[in-house]
Amino acid sequence: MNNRLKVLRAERDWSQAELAGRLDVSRQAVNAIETGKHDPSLPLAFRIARLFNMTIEEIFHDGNA
Amino acid sequence: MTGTPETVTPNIGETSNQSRRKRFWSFLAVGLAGGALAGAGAGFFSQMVRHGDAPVWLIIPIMAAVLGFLGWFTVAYFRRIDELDLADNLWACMIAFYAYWITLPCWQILHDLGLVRAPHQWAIWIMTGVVVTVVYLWRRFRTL
Repeated sequence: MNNRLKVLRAERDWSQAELAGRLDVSRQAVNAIETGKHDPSLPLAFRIARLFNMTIEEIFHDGNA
Repeated sequence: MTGTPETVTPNIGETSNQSRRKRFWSFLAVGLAGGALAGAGAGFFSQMVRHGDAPVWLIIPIMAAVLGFLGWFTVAYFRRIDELDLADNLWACMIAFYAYWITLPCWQILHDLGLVRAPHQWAIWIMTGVVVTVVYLWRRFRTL
């Protein structure tokens, strides 16, 4: 699954650790999501969307849309 | 549509992340210390029982205490880790379970055919632990 997490994080000048702390996950989890090695659970995807004031679909897409 | 950049206190996440890591490693240190203490205690009392310095039944409450600690630690550990770590743990445990499940009967069949010595339970036990560790570390290092 592709996502815009790295771009959104860079727009705010946040490090991976900063985003991880705001989401209450490890920095490795943020890295794994950004690089597409881990697809977040639905609750975590909602937390990410709320943090950026966006919808899940605006951040994550499966590449077919 | 793009989200509005956050204007809240900078570095609040990094502080929270550091605090989270500190809590986790403290918990892990307590768990490892407890495990070492339980292992040493169980070994000590086993020796006492073996030499007749303590009644045999004493080993039962000691084992119950060790299992109770292990159960508490496992539940507490899974409550503290995030979903990526949980997935890594599940991968490691599943592959190690398959390794154990397949190794014992295969070894037994080879033994029945006269090709190898009888299955060695401790060798299989250690191999299972090695597989858990290797798979877990492989999963962790790929996301560092």
